[in-house]
Amino acid sequence: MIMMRITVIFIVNLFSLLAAAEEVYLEPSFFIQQQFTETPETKYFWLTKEHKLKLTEITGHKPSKLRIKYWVVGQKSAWILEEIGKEQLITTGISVENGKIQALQVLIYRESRGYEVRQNFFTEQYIGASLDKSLDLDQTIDGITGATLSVRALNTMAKSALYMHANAVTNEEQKTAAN
Amino acid sequence: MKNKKPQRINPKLAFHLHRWHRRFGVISALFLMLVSVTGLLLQHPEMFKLTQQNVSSSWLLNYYGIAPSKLGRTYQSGTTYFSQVDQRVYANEQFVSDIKGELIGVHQLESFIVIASNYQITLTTLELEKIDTFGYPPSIELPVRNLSKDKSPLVFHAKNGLFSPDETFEHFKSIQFIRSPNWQETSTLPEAVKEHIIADARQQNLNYERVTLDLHSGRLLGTFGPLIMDFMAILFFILAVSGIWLWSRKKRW
Repeated sequence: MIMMRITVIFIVNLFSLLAAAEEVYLEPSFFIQQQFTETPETKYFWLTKEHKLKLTEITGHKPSKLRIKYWVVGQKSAWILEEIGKEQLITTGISVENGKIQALQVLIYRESRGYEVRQNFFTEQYIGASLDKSLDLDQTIDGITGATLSVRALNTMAKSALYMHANAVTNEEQKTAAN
Repeated sequence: MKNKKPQRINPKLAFHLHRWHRRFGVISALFLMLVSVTGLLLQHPEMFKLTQQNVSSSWLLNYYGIAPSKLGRTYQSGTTYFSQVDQRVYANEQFVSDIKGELIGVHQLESFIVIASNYQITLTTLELEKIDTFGYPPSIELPVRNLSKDKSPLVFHAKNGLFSPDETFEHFKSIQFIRSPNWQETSTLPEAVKEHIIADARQQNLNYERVTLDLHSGRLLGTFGPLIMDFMAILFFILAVSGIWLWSRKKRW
């Protein structure tokens, strides 16, 4: 009985160790630096009721917080977003210019499987993608076998960044121009 | 030319084969049902909400060796007790946010609540909806020790001095006082609330997906679990072979 318990505890701990393995590919601050030639302005995008509804539609769950930090210069914005793949958060940097994704990079990966989503051959598929009227990406993203949930998380973050860019940067610009 | 007659099996051997085939069949059927049901559940964990539901049975939590959660510090703001259990903060019995480090104080301001730990700050609405969680700026040496009792100004006591944030909490300025401000003191949490949040925090460590997975692989039974499952796999194979062979003698569907 004692042996049984020890084995179960060992296995549980092994799983949690695997799950907790955090791989930092690029510090979020470096990603932001790489996206702009001049110093960007730091802003916060506050979620209204409508934004919360739309983001819930995109992600399939309620937003975890009400304000999202972003960096902006003119029509270009950069976002550091987090989404759960299977059990752990994936931290991703996304930059958007004129409603299209300019760069998408996995910065911190904590899941034990599915790390292939950080490879360039996969993330390059998002470049140039924009959001259509049904809040979907207008480009097809080919999945990776065994990384379905991580791919889904990256799609969700790409769509969220495009949605927030449209509301925080594009719409604000239009409002300023109208005034 | 005469047709060659099929070789007849020894009746005694056929009798024993049938008998053991039936016996093995019944034993393995139970395992097959277990593996089928758990496999089906694991194939659709979201549909069956296996990941969202945590195990509350103390027996199972003890069996997995999950230690009871520890109550950290509690701070009172108005009538609400903000307490830390493991890496979680609760407002009375309601979960508010995950937390890094130790809770050092809570302040209810005009339009939001500040929950400070010695490594990060969480802001929530007055209805406890999380606004944001962020770290201290690099100018503040971690870990931060205390949060002031007074709200104006809000003062954080770090290793390298006293700091006060602006309205957005984006910038902190170093400040000096002739007399050190009073720091927030911990409170005692009512026993009923304490029991509830300790149990809730402990349950977060084990969900039904993990238990189903361990049941499926046999690991729930410890060292011998996977071996039993291996044995059953061999038994399924023997059954399949003996079944086909017995059928081939009669060739009846």
